[in-house]
Amino acid sequence: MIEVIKLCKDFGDLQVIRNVSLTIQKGEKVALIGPSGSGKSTFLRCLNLLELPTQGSILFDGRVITGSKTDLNRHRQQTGMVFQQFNLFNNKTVLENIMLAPLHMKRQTLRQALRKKSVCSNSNKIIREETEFQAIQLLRRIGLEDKKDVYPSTLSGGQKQRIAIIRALAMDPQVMLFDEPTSSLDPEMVGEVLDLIKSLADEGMTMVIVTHEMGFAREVASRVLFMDEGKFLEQGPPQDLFESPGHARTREFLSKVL
Amino acid sequence: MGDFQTKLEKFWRVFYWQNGYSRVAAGLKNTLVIAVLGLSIGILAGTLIAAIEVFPGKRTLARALKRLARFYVALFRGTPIVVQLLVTYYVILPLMAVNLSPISVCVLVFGLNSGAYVSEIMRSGILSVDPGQMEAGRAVGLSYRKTMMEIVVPQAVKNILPTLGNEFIVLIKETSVVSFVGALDLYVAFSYIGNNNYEFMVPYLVMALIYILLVAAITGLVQLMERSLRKSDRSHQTM
Repeated sequence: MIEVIKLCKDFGDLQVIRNVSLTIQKGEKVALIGPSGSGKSTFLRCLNLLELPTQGSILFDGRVITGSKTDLNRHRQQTGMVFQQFNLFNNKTVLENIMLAPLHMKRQTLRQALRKKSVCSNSNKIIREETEFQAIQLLRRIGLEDKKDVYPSTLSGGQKQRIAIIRALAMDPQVMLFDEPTSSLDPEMVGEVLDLIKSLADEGMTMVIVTHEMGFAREVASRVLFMDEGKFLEQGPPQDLFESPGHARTREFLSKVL
Repeated sequence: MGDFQTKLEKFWRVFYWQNGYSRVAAGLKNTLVIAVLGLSIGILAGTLIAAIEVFPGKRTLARALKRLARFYVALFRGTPIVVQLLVTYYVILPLMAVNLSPISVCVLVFGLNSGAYVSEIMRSGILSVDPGQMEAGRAVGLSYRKTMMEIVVPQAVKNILPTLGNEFIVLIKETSVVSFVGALDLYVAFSYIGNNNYEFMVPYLVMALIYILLVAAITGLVQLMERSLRKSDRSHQTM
């Protein structure tokens, strides 16, 4: 589903990603591990083009998305992203956070349809009700329906991150990207967020997770990649990579974090 | 004190019995019109300039616009407003053969002048918003413009509201120079009253009081707006 070919990313003189290739199949759960500064997050951010690659190309469902003609917004609508710092919209309520993007997307589609006069004019209201219904369903799933009208500043870290996850889900994405989703959480809130991610994995969602939670990577991932100095040094099923790492750098890293 | 009593009576005679108050009212109206319209133009121009300045694009058009924006800000921050008024009214408009009333010229110049200052305020406001907000907007597929309008600018405005209120107060006070191009404001109105009987103490004292009351009222209004915009924050949270 995602094919990365000879990807390079430089920040000025600094080469962060060095000629990396990778293929991710539909339904795969890929965990990216490695020391900080190894380029994991940058690689993840290249997948939804929050960082534009310096060289190389990325194919999504067989289409090249790194060309200059790609509709960036359309591509990002299909790739859900969850940040380390949650990044909920501070000036919007929980419900507005979830509804903003899907509502905007559906209205755009509606405007195009209206131009062809194939829909009736009260569709706007229907779209709103439908989007709100879906948002509430998602909130119900994480048990936070009663928080729908509050602002993010009143929520705990775990609640914020779970809402950030369903905000991404509301766009009905093909793949979910997680950038260290539990790294800025208090320890007692890590569990609730990991449980939600795990339940998505069980439903067959394709996902790429940058994480420092080795236990979680071992349990959920179908493939683990070890990244160091902008390259994938080693990859394989979690039991292989964690039990018998082939590379000296991998062994060194794992001995420090396990 | 008897002396002051006489001065007060003289003032009252012109102010009340000889219709001085209608001039004061007209002057007050002009002061407010120039300040309110000026700030409105300033906010529009300033937001536009700030948007150009923070736009990350590096294409030729973006670069040219950025240079133009910097020139505009340098021009209007680098000269006194009196000079801008005089040059616009006596140099630029006659050269362009455009005829505008003094009030219109004042609104225009105060608007452009305040735009330069507001653009700096707005720029720092936009930069004070966590970059993660823009990233999150882009990550769910919203365009740069949509994210800016829906997410970043509203948070920026909340952060800079006290400073914008301050800009409005500055504008109110700066309108006291509009008589340089022949517009009637509070200063002209009270000077008229003073000139009527060569007694300036009370008229200028009352003028000062009106300015103070005006500024106090605006300060209160800004605080009220701030409080209503703070509803998305926890009450004990500082950011």
